[in-house]
Amino acid sequence: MKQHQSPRFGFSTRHSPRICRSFLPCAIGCLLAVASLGWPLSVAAEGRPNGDHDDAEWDDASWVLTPARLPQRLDEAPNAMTVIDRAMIEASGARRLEEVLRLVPGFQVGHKYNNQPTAAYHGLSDEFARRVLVLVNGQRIFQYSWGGVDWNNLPIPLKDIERIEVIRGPSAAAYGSNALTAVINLQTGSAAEYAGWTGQVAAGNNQIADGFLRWGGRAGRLNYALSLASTGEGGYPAIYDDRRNNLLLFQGELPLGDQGELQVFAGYARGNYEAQNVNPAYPGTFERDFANINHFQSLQWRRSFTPSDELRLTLSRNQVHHGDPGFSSADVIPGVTLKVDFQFEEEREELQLQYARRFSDQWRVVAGGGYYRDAYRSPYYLNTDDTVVTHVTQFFGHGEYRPWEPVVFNLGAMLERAPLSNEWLFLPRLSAHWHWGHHQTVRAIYATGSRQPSIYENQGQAVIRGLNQPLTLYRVYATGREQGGLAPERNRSLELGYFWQPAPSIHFDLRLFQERITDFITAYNRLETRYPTVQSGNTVVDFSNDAPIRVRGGEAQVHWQNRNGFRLFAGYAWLDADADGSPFDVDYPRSVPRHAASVLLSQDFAEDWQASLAYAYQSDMQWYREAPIDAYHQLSGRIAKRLRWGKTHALAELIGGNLVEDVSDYLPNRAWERGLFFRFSLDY
Amino acid sequence: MRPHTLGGWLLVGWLAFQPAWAGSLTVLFLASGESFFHGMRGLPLWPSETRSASRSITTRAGETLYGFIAASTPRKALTANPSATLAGYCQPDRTDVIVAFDEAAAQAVAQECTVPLLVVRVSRQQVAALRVLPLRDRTSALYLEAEPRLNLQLMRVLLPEARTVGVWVATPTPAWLSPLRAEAQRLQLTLEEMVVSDDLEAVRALRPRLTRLDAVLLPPDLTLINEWSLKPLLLMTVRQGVPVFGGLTARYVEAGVLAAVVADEARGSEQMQRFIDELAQGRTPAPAYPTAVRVVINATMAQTLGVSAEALVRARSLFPRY
Repeated sequence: MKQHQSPRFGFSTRHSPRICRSFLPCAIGCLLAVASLGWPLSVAAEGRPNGDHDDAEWDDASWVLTPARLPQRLDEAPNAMTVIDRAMIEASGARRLEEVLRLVPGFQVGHKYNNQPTAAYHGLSDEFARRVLVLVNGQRIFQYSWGGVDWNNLPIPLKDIERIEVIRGPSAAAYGSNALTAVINLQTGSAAEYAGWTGQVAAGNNQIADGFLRWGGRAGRLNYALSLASTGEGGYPAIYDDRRNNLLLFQGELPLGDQGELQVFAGYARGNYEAQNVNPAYPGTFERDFANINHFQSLQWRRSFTPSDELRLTLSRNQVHHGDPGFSSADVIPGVTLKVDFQFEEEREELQLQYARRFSDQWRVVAGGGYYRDAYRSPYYLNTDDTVVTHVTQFFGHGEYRPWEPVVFNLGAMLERAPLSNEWLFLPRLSAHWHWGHHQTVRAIYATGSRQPSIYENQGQAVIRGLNQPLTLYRVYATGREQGGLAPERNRSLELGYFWQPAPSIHFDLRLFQERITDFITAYNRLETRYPTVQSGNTVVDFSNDAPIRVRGGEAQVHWQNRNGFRLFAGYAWLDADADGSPFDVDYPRSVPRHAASVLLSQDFAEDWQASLAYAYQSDMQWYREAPIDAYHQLSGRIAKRLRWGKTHALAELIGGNLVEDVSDYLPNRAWERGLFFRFSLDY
Repeated sequence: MRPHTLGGWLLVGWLAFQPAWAGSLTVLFLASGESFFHGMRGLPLWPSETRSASRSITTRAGETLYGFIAASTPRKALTANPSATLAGYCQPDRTDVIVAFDEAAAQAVAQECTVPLLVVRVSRQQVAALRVLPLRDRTSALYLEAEPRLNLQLMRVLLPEARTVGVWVATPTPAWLSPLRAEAQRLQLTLEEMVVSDDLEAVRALRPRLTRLDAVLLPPDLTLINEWSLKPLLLMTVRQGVPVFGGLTARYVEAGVLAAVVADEARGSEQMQRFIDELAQGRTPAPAYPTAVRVVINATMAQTLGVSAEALVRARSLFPRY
């Protein structure tokens, strides 16, 4: 067997006859293709010529799917990776998805409001995570209109997430725009895995009250699972920002013979939020309640024609309604009642076709194309009742080639076009891996990322209208479209990496990198003489491409677990940014924290007890255009006990958060206090 | 089940060639699929004088089986009056032993015939159901699957550090569990027995235990591990990096099980002949697992899980071929 042969893909057992009154085990490729894995069909073992292991060794989960759209070994992926599995999510005690991302080296997590969390990689971000692409089972979820992610309102409960693959670095070659700095792929289990009832409740201080219920079953050949979830808490003290997120998720899988499968995914999420005004220009807090709604439907068809290939067609649709009605104020201009209305709707339809093939033991490829259409409507943000439509066309391809045993090359590229930027983007990625001995791998990677300007950045006109007077005041007037369109942001990254696996279940990864982001889209204030403005000095917010920003640094990650129930996951990032050529008054380097560290420790004890600690440290930083925050230490602790009554399994957990100090992770005047909650889960 | 494998063909061909059966012996070989016998034609090891032409045979229930007569004396095979019905063969003066190669054929014979029956390539679970049928005191079997405890030996070679092995167990307690427990104790493995009643429970039972298992053993039980449940079980275990062993046949390994000990069809004819002889002589040997077994390994899963080449070589030589 070739030592470093990456998992191939192959899919069907078409040539295998049915066993009467028995069953035909579906080929692993067919099975795992459903779960986006796509393993090969192979029974031939090849001898390794120079093997020197006496003991059988095996590794846990040392493969990834996301970087190249192919199943690959962790030490051969064309990007640095962090994999967070179900056990780690549980051990972290996290209730919210973004909290889990604190474990990823180089990530920053903050909450401007309780209902507005954000997660960014390598800083350079405000409360909207515009430069991190979020996928659910490989399909994108983000609001293209303003380029962000509603982390609270994703139509997938945390309990259904089995695995999170995080690409640390640009990956536009595989996914196109918004994969500028990182990609997060949330992977659910298959519906068949969720057979039976599962329930969970949690309650704690700060009005924490969560519930989860899932039923998995089968109807004929259809496997399905239905999940209901509700999460919420009271938010920051003295801030009107409570939230309650409810969601419904349906997953279905229907085998189509021995070579194919149809997968259905449909989610509905509703976030009920409290909000208040914080703009000092408007006297008053203007507390109000509103709802955000997020629909998501996806249909995926997979088909294997031979054991060495697979065709995949995906249709998806996503609808978002942001229902913040804003507020009215008669205190800004005498005699004029001004109305600020933040509502918008967005709808995206996406079509994607992908074909993967293994040509030989040395090489395999995946290629495809996609088209997605975005429609955005917001009288407030666009100053029109019309729906603005844009679309993006993509063609991508990736090849993995191993010319001789210790060397692997990955080459891929994306060709993308969006009318907003009016140009074709060519976004390549090239990596070389060399397995140095049996335990070590060194890698060199050149990767690119991109971000198309959002509709708002290109042509947004945020206006405030008078209700009793024919008055329109401009807060934002984006001139990008008038000037031919903003250029897309691009990230060109060079990376040297080292991966070491000295023993079973121990990984160490080191990454040294330099990223150069060009045409960074920044907001700035400019003089506006054509229209009345909200801001003083007759200024409006506009957007422009800025001078290059360079981010360099190093990240280290270690993962160690043993058979005595001990698990350690730790990460560290050292970051340095400079943007000396920027003509705008923006302190980019301050938005990139110099140091960040995370540790997750977990230990199983006798009698099914488990204890875990999750620690995160971040040095001082300043979110984009916000006040600076000090360094903080965040510590969470968890004690858990597994219980069994016959075939019913339960898990009782007591989890405490912010045990060391109150944590301000976004603004200095808002801090998360110590928290405590109890969670109980039942599998019946 | 249709023994489409070359091993199955050679098996029957070898048997049909054997002149050494005691006395004058007539054996009816039966299967539910005609294609099983198509591959027999033209095989050089199959002297036509020792067997009749294959023909369709109708059961009392109207089902069509396919079979041929093989006799120890060529003339007897050729002169045996062909019968279109199974009942026509179910005469002791006509047929000494019937060998059924799948469950459908075995069931038909079990319900119609009192002729000694040897069931081959049918799982122990299915054979047990046949043996409780009336008129079936002269039934023996060579099970489809290898003895489950052998998979623990394989597991120990491939995973020397493993300690805890998960295995599903149906109720009532299956007969293979006791020897499995003994073998686990001998190999210093702890069996985490997941008592379940159906495939749905099998899937549910695995999830909360997965993080503390070093490996999982598939039981030879189609009510628990079948076309529906194998998929989610493999998905969960692959995601967690927990190796899976076992399965009734090599097809499970092809589907993603790491490794299994399975019947070696190419070498199983000797045991079959012995069973036929005993049945013909009035004895009924107890049903048994195949003595000739081999190791099948999914190389890709082994690679993914980091199993060394040396371990694979040791595993493949675990059950030597003599």
